[in-house]
Amino acid sequence: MIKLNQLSGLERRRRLCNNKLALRVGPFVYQVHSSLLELDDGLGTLYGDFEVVDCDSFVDFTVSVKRANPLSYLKGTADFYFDHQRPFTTFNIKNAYAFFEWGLNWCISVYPNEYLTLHAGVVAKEGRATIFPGVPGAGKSTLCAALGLAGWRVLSDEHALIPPKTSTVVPVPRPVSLKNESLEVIRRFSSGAVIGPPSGDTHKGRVAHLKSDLTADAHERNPLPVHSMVFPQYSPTDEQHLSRRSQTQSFVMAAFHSFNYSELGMEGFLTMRTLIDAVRCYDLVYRDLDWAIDTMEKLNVGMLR
Amino acid sequence: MRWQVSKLGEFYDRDEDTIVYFDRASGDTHLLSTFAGSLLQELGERTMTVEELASILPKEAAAVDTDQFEQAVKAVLEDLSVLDIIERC
Repeated sequence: MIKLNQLSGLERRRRLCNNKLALRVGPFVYQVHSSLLELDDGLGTLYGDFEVVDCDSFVDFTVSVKRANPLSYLKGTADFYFDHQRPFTTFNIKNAYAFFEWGLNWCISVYPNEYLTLHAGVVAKEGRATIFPGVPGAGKSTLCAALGLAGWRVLSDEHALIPPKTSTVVPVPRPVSLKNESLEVIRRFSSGAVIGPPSGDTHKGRVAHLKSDLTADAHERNPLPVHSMVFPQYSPTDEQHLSRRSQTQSFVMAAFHSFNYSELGMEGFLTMRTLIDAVRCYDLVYRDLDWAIDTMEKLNVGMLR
Repeated sequence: MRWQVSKLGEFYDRDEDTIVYFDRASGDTHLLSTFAGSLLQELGERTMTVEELASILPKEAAAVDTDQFEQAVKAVLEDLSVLDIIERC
């Protein structure tokens, strides 16, 4: 198995430019094509430990980030393509890396229906996974990032992939997206945080991505049993607490945060029922990351119920 | 007036104040009160009137008399009808 960081920078760039670079991300293989230095820099910083796959083997998603036409050279713009689709509007080339990551997210959000896919962060410790469903801004990515820097395994900050009628989750590790104040919060939290190219003025504000495949088992592909489902909410004013929440309300909320629950119909319901039946559900209101990590540690080893 | 379930769905009940109901006919998932869930389970694949349902549903302690209880049953049936879970027949 070859990791990306085993290729020289020149070889990485050659493959990227010539549409010969394929990376394994959990159960998926992405073939990536771009001549943009911004993308090459980001891949070199954040994807060094990802497996490089032979492009002649099966590829799930073929993506590219490129200038659409000669005018885009003058305008300094680029586009993200999945095959020949262009799911986003044209963006400033300075934001190419953020759009590349969002494009990879979009592929998983829209296409695979062999899993029940929740919009959620997923972390694990000692083989037990916790799912963090949450709306954007709830603080799930920041919490995933901090837990990852504190020794937890980050399975994803965006997608919980649940195989049908199981209470397990399939790892799909990728860099964690940090936005606006979260960037400084994570930089203060760990001086060793490896953060990729910044994008300054996206529709989500300032964005950069954190290398989060830090554990020895970060790229193992076996599903992990889900231990708990925690709905995080960052709040600078509310009292910090972890509290049990209704399983049935959590069911509906998790379904609401799913990308394909409705499409899966009965199978989606049965899978969610199997999952929720196997886990305990909690609300976590936090403002201090050290407190949140300590709480998650206690929850994971059964000290909190 | 008689009521029936369009197509009886699946329940997820954890002895809480609410239950989850998956409507096989529409593919929609609903969070319902346990009372509405009990009503649906009693209705099952039969057709029943408000009075018939009220006579077999367990009355809450707070339900003071039969008329009030039947009104409560009727209100829940109307709500379930709006959600297209049940229909008049």
